[in-house]
Amino acid sequence: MINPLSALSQSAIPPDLVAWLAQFKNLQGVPFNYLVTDERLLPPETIRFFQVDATWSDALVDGAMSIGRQYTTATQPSPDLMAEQAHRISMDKLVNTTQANIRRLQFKGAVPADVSAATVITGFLLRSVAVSSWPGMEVAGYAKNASPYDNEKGIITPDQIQALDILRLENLSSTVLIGLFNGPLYELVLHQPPEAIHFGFTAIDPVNNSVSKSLRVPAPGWDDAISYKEDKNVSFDAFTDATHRVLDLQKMSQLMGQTFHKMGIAPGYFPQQQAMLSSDFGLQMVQGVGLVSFINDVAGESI
Amino acid sequence: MANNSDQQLLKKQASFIQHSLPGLEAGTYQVEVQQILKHSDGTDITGEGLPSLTRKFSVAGARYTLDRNAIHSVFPPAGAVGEFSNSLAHVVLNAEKLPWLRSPYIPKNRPEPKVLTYETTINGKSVTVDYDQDIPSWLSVMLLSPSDLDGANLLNVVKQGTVQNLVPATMQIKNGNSALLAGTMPANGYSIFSYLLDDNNTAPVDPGAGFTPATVVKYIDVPFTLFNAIAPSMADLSMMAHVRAVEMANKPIAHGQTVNPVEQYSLVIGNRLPESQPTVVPGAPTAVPPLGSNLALLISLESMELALRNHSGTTFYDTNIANQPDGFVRLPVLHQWSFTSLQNTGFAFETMLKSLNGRKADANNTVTVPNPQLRVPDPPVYNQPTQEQTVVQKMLASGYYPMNHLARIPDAEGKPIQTLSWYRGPLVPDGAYTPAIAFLADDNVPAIYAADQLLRFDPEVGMYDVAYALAWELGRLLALQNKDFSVALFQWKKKVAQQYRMLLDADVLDNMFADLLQVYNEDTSIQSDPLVLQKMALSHLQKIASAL
Repeated sequence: MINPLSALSQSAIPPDLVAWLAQFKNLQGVPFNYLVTDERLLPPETIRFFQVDATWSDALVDGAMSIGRQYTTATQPSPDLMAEQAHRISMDKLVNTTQANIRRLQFKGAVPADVSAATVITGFLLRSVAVSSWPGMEVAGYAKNASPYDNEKGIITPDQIQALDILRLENLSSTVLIGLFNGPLYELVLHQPPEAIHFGFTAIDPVNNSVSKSLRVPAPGWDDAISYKEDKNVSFDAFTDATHRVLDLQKMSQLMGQTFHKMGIAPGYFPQQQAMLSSDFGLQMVQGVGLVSFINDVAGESI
Repeated sequence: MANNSDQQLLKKQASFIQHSLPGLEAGTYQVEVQQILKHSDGTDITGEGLPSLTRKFSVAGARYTLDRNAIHSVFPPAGAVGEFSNSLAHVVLNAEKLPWLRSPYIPKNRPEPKVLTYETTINGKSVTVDYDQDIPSWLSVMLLSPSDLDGANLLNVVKQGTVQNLVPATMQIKNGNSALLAGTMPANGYSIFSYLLDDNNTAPVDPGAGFTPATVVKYIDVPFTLFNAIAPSMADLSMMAHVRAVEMANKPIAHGQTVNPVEQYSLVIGNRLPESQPTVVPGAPTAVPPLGSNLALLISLESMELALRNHSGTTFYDTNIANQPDGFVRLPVLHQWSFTSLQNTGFAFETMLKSLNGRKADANNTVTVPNPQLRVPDPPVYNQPTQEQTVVQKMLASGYYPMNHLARIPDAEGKPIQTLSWYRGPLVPDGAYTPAIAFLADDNVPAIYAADQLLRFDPEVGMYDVAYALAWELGRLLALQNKDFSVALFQWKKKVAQQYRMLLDADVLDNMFADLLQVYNEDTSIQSDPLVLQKMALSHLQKIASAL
């Protein structure tokens, strides 16, 4: 004697259906005016924090599954509903696991991890000129009691800091950035992209034909791990044409190399006569790394 | 100055790499193959080898124009207004080998790539380490301001023309296989092809693989006095490009895009600081045009070795261009953007983010960000709210937004009813109330068949909450719009329905004919004789019919 329903629930669910529904749970494909109803909710130069309403995304998924669903007044559900009746619960679990892996699998060579979407998914929306000016802006999110801010206050140790999984991080337009995190967001860190950090000086003085810079001094010997510390400001004669503000990069590179040679840093690497390599010159010229972190301290108020 | 705790905020590695040289540089190549057949004892039987075969192929690469997609970002950002007086403009390129695809050296002077060594001690042992010598890049970032060009309008400075405009008038350019066209650059101009005039080489110029004399080029004419002052030297060009490798784990990724975990970008920097508007002193005369507007150009300096600053010897450039009053240098422009530099620190990354939501950028860290949640900002606050006003306040605080709603139901005169309803998207303020809706009834049967089932009505204010009904309907519409999904879903439901029917049939057969099937399965003689089985089945059915 076989129970048709339990026999059916053993059969497989097509994986591309699961993949498509998982995208829905990440709000992929939802038109922007459904997410942000009016411009007043997200005017220019604003950041907003939110959590994702699980019932709303469940309604979205249920609506998608409703194609071919026919209502009947009979007491016995029609065979068309069998697929959903037998598979909805296990499908929801599969969709949760797939949802948590969508971004992970966008990196070439990655393997899916055994994680599933958390009960509370939180995130932020950023609308600002900063999004279009620094396109590769880096984002990290942390939960309470696992964030660098807690470490700063002395609550946890550095090895207890754990970043939240990013479920989705995407530019919705050139000035709008959306981020969804797998867990409650306590600290959000926005970081200037490392590939676009600009080159510059601490101070320039064309009148006296000098610029000053604080140099990044590499570790003393090759046996030490690569590390750099910023040293006191060093001034250089670096202009080849001060009226036109043109720098002599070759000369600057030589002067920096000589400074390191005199300090005895990385012996042999900075021969006194030659200039530094372009990569070392680039590293020294990098000026200023911007980073802003937001603490989301709602303190559990309920509305 | 970063303190220790800041280091924990985002630990990411960025690698600075000297260069990324292409396997084959852009240009035309010729391969010649010749076969020699030898006897087993080594004697050559072909007599000097079979006739050789020569084939030509070209490696294409950007030369006069650059695809928009090749540019990842620029600094200062295009159209930015801020304090950039002490930073160098740069361009980040997606193509990591582009700055070394061509060379500013003229072809016959290209040096062999050198490997240098130095001695050092690692772990107490003396070690010789090899490293490459820097290779200069053919790209450079040039900054111009109106004051450099006698107040010229920066918008008109870059002209559009063809490759023919880059060829000196005394030379010819190949057009296709056989035709030759005369160049159209005046005699007092110097371009990327003018190095041939140093040797009085009058052979026709090749526009390059994949290019014709009619290829569109944007170029700029720089007066020779300005060029002598602001052009980089060959040694500068070896410092002006390098490669950065960055981790992609925390960056925005578009839907459907795949990236490497570590991506490499190349950077080209400029050698000139921007012109900056000084602090305004009241009463002092302001310059006309006002200082501070800059035009940044990514230019090609291919084969310009003989005209760059500190070039050796006296070349055609010195004798024919730099001593004419109107001599100029014509450079192809691959990308351009403009920005303004003022004494205004508003355009720094940190300042922009700290001043979001109307917060003062220089405020103390304890000053909170106004209106951080996604809901109507600055909602109305009533002194002694009535019941309805309380409801409105709570709904707005939960992220709801009132919207016009045209109902499907007509009123008494037949016009559709216009009402006001609450809507909320999936993004709600932290801690907002979200109802639990059961989408599955008993036994996991789906419960919702129409969006109207999810409408929620608040009798206190007489308004509908259409959030979940809209979500359900949107899901349905999006699924219908995507044919791959809707067809696949429908086929799957049909297939499972069929499976169910088959299983049900088998179940019914099992129940009603259990003993008959048992006899059939056990007695092999019945299995071979269908007539006997038929008689048995008939008698069994009669038994069941009489029992009903």
